[in-house]
Amino acid sequence: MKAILKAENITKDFEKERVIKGISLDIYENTFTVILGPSGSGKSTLLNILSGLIRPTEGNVKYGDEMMTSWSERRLADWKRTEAGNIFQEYLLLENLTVEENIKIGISPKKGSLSFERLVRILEIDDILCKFPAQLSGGQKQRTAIARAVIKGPRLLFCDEVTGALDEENSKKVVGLLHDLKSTFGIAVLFTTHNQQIAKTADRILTMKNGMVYQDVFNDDPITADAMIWG
Amino acid sequence: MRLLYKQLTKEVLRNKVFVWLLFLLVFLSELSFYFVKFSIDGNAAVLESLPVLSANQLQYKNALASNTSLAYTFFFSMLGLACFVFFMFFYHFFGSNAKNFGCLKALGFTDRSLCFYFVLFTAGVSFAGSLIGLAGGYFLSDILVMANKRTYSVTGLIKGVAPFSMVVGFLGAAAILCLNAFLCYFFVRGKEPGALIAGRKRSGVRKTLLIADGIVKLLPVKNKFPLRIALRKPLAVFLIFGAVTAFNVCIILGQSLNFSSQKVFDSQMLGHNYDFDTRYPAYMGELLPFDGLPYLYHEAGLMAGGYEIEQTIIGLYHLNEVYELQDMDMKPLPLPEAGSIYINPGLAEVYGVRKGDSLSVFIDGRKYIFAVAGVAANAKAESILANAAQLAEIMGIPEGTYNGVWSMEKPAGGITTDREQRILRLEKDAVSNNTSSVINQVIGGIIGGILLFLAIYVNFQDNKQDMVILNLMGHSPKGIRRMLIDIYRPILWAVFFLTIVPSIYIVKFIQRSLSVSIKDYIPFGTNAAVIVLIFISLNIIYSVGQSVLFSIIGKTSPGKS
Repeated sequence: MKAILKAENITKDFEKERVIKGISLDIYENTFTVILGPSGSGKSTLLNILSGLIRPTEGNVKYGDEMMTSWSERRLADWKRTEAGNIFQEYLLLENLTVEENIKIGISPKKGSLSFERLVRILEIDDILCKFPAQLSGGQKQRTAIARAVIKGPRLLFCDEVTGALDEENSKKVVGLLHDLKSTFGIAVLFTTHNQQIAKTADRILTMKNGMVYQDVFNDDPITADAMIWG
Repeated sequence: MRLLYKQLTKEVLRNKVFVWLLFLLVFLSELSFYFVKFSIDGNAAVLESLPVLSANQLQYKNALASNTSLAYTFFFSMLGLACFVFFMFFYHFFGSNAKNFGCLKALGFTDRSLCFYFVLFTAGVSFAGSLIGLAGGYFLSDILVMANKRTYSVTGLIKGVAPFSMVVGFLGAAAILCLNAFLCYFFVRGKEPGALIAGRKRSGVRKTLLIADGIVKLLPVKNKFPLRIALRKPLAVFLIFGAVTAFNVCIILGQSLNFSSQKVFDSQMLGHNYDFDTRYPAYMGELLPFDGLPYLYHEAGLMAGGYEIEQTIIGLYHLNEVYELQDMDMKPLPLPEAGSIYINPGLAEVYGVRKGDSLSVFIDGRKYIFAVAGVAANAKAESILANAAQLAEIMGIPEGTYNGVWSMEKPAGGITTDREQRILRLEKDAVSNNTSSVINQVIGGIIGGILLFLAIYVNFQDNKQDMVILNLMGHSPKGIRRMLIDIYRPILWAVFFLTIVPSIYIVKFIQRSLSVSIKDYIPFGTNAAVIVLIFISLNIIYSVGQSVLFSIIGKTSPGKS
């Protein structure tokens, strides 16, 4: 497996509190990695650092051979436009744009995109393209957010508690779709959650506690999204 | 980029109240500029092209030069206020859309492209406001042109605006407002998308809340919670300070400019009991055949407050009921003694000359030092009063010689201005000054009102989410109002009382600067009624802001929050 992203001894302080305490890890291509941990364990902060949404206080993040942490704002923005997709628990769809426009705003003019028609068909949102976010259900919103993150054909997809606001049916659907997208387009998926069942579907599980990774295991026998048992 | 700009435009236009007020503000600033400039530029160019000017034309030309200074001063002051309102808008907009900005940055849009949009939006508002202001100014300038025609008895006046004024009105305003927008983007610039998306959920208690809590504990207030909620956002409270001060200044300045015409009129009539003012081209020596008041007048220059000021020095031989000189307390002043002079109120108020000061006066290129014996409230405009015997000696003419007479009967020879002509001239000046000051006062009042409304609106908006939460928890609208809204009225009152005196000093400073720049004394004037008017207006605007907010909150269902 080839490492696509490398974290080297990263820390993050918010005011006087250290929330990430010296984490080093590699993220591999075409792998579904779950970052598992309770609230306040630092998993979202770690994800945000890896996705370039915040900079670490100390340490480096490498993308291939390049040192991401020393990139200019412009270079980082280019990377986000072309190589990385983000999906959030709160969807963060742009209220003033239709579903179609919300997806297409994710396309970078500098890089080709995945087939729009194929993507919206896979995500089962081809019949709601003219609707505005306020007219959608939670599941539809999240699938639109996934389409927006994936349309650019990213190498990495960062998903922060993306099933946190969804019911069982929609959660299973979203997790299943993310696995399909990983397989279809060869995307490395990083997924934060506190849900053990979702972790069981992953290729790799990083477990966090108190700002540190205390367990890093590869799952040889992942279950399918449909097989998840919702407690 | 098209979708980015579509999203941002729709988001900006969701703040309809704000956007309309921003447009209105730019429009009013431009209107106040162009209505004056249309009456100036064309006529100034015509006067410039004439080889010889009549006395009226010369006076009119000087007035146009003064009005040009005034127009620029008002325009840039109003643009300053507009910048403040744009600042409020961006503070509010960036604060309430932090998550969206985080999302857009996470999608890979740079600060540069986001900032460019806001500069573009500001330029759009500026150009639209300038265009409508230009059109409005063209039509409104009729009033000033007509007033000037009457005042200066000049004919063939035209309406026209110079290319330079167009550049200042359009590009100057756009440049200032766009620079302001660029600077306001620093609310978001450089902030990490993750921090913007996380918003306030980050760890710990905000420092401002702790400071607010500390302040509230020190204050002798019964219910401390609402005050702590209000003070936790110092920038929002600062906006109230700025807006109330600006509102005070706009109203006091407008009223003061209005009063100034009357004040000048009064000072030139009070104690000036003569029916005829006659001036002779040569010095006269014969005794007057009636009970008049002969005087000597001569051009003089003086140095005060670091400025060279042109004045007329008037030498008085004696005083009587024809002209009763009065001090600022309206008490009679005796004849100035040799070595001393009385100054007019303009020199005292604008240039800070005080009783007891020594003043260098230049007469025919020679310097003479006079002690200031007092301020004559009803001195002739732009004049200083000296002892005639001493002035005659300085001028090298025999004592008793005169070249002007104030009298109740019309003397023979010379150029005489009778009482009716004098009153007519003062009234015409007053009408001309009033016209522009009333228009500027109205515009200033509206702009001040807009500022204040927006400051209150921004503060209320900051509490919108808390209101919805309390509403969901079952608190009555009355209870919510008591907890989160009612506190702003006492804050407004406190700010009013704290800022009213500084506002008066600011207006005095502005008027002093104006007087220096246009070389014409604009007396300051205000009274208790103006202060009461401001206080009542503040409360009315507050109530309107409150009603608008409640109507918005009423439309926000809990599900949408």
